[in-house]
Amino acid sequence: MTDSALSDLRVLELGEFVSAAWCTRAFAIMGAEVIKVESPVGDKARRVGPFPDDIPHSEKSGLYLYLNTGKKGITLDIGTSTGRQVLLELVTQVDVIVDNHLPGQMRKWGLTYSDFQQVNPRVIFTSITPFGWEGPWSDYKSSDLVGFHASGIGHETPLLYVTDPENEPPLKGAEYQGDMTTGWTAASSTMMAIFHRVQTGVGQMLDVSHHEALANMVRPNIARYTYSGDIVEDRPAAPSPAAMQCADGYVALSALADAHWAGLKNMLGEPEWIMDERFSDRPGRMENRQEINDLTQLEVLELSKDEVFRRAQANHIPCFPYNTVEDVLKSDQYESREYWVPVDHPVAGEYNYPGVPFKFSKSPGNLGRSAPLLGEHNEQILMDRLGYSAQNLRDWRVAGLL
Amino acid sequence: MTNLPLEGVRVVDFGLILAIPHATQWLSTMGAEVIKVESKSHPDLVRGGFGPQGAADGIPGLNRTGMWNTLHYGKKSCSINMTTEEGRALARKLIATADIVTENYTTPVTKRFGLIFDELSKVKSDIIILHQSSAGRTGPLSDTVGWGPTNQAYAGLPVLTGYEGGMPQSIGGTWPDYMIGVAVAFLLLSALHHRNRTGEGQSIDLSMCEMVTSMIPQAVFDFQMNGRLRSPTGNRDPMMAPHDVYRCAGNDTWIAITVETKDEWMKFCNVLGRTDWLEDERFADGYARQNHQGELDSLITEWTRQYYPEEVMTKLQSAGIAAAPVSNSIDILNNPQLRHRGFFVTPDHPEVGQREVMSTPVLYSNIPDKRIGTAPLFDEHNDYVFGEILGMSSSEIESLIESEIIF
Repeated sequence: MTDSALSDLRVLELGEFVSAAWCTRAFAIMGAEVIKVESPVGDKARRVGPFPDDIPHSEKSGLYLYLNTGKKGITLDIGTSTGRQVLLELVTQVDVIVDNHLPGQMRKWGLTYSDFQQVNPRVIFTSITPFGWEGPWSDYKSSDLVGFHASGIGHETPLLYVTDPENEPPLKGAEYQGDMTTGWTAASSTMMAIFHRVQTGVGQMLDVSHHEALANMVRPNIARYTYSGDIVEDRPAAPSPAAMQCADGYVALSALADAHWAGLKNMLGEPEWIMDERFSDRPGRMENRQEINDLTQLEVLELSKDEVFRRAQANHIPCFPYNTVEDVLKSDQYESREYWVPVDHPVAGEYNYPGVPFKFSKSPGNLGRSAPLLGEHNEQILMDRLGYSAQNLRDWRVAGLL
Repeated sequence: MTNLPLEGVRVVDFGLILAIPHATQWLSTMGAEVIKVESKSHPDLVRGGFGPQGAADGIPGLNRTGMWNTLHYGKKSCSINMTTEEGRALARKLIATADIVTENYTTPVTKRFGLIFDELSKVKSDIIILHQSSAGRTGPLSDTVGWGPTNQAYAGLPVLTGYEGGMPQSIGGTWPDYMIGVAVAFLLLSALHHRNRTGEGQSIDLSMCEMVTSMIPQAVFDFQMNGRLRSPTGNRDPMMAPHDVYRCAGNDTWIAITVETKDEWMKFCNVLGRTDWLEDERFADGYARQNHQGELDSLITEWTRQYYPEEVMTKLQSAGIAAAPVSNSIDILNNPQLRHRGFFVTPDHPEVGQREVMSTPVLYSNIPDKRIGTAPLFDEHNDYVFGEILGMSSSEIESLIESEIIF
């Protein structure tokens, strides 16, 4: 009996910043052993923050701490021949490698799939790159912003209607939604390859493109065009769902579907405007949704957002308040599900981390240990696992390899 | 020729709309048999034209929308009236032959339909059932209804997304549904891996709101570390500048550009022919550029406006600067990189013919051909499901159709 779903898997992360770290974090939550390899200067996330009192410190970056719970950490300059050799030895002991360096960089280092395959034919090499390994854009650089917009999702954002396109440019989602979505894409695909390996005994390379993983988020738009000829060139032209201003903030409220429309009538006490013939079926409501939203807005303007939320839900209307981080940290719902998890870190101290957002009844996931200090597990991995000597490690440290 | 990795895995899918169908689509492309359980009384919204998008050639019909076809190719469809005890019994028979059950009804409906582990494990002891809901299946908000955009709001993402000084904005494209669908595939495969090792099934209770909150860690930590409530910063970044979208030549065309390192900044100034900026103290380093971002962005826009986005991308990428056009749907469909990777496939559907839709992302070196197939017609596989899988005679099936149990 095991109590973690993936406790039989060992994952090596050659990650820089968010996407690869997000992928391996999913494996760590499900119980896999994750060994994160950082360059001697440490992961970029260590320099990004936020930091307590805004004072940068490589062991106190909120982003790094969060992305790397449950992992072991070593430092190694994989761009040197010694570093490469040590890495390849480590590769013989793992099931999965998750990497997010550029293809050109990996080729230059001599760390492509064939190098890994040679030392471990069972290994699964999950490579996350901006645009993929082959093709006209494969050498191009990207970032979360560039990928978000290149994929089409930025063109759909903001969701509310754009009235002044010149001054309301396409918009990126906050933080690193693109990198994290790509990380999920890599994690799911890697599990497919695990099942393939169970069947065949061999590993393979997964070519995960940030651009493609995000384009996948707008898949209906392509079908709208190829099926009904809707050319989605204009940015969102009407609010759906509406952001309704209340006395103390906003709620998101959507009631155009038949079931929800009946609820809205009831919730608002059947005002005269709601019986308008034009609003009697869903297509009519879709066409006139801006007018409907303006009229609904007048009805809720003086109520508190909590009042509107509760009344709407009592009538089975999809509606939630626009919460701040402070609100969600106090959420009764999250508290009752024990969502926030206090994690104590030896240098950074204790904070409430967003917990595991899915509950497995038999093999529950958990955040595990706090994020590794820079090079914390060098001895454990390089000496105990690989059999190098203390002298080796001293030499490498002097040479700047660790 | 080896089998696809999930061949032999059967999924009974009650999932509606987007997130769950997207997840089971991934499993289907990798060989799982996905049987969608539907009902005439409540057809999946995406069959009827969800949102403004409509049916093929403007002809209405349950099998004709792009939304339906892009999310269900390769799956099977059967129809069961779950509001009757006989229907629920029939569903339990089917589930007894399955590995995975997925659903995203509201909590009261799920309970009424008996789609809970304690019930289903009586007919299949190692069943895996995944529940996806707005706020989770327990707690004071367990019975709430919501969809992607409203759940984002609760989770705290829109107050961080938006224009500087503006109101909260949601990410479009029905975020976070598709992203969650991708994650659900990981969760199901993890549970299946666990079952294969231990013989143990289980339930998975996924909260959409919690998923979204788990993806805004910087705001969560900044509030705890510094008492700061972050607000929207448009396309800008707290550390990098330039980092924005810039207006180009053409109608509503934009280019996204990010400059991170000192080396990139030097190359950027060279491409723009503005080496004088390297001497300009307003732009001396990242910190200075952050503080003069408005001025800098106006100057950059003077340059980008002269060119179409593709031209700007080529000029900047050739110099090693991250840049790409803001793409709309047509740009994506015509994108040379996605085309090169074979990201579009063309199912040949009996009613609507050949139309391009997206494949699933990721290229596998050892699984060159994902299974695509076509989306099922409504209740197309009733004979297969009730006859072949459950071994019912045609007269039995006929009588269940008459009594609107198969419906």
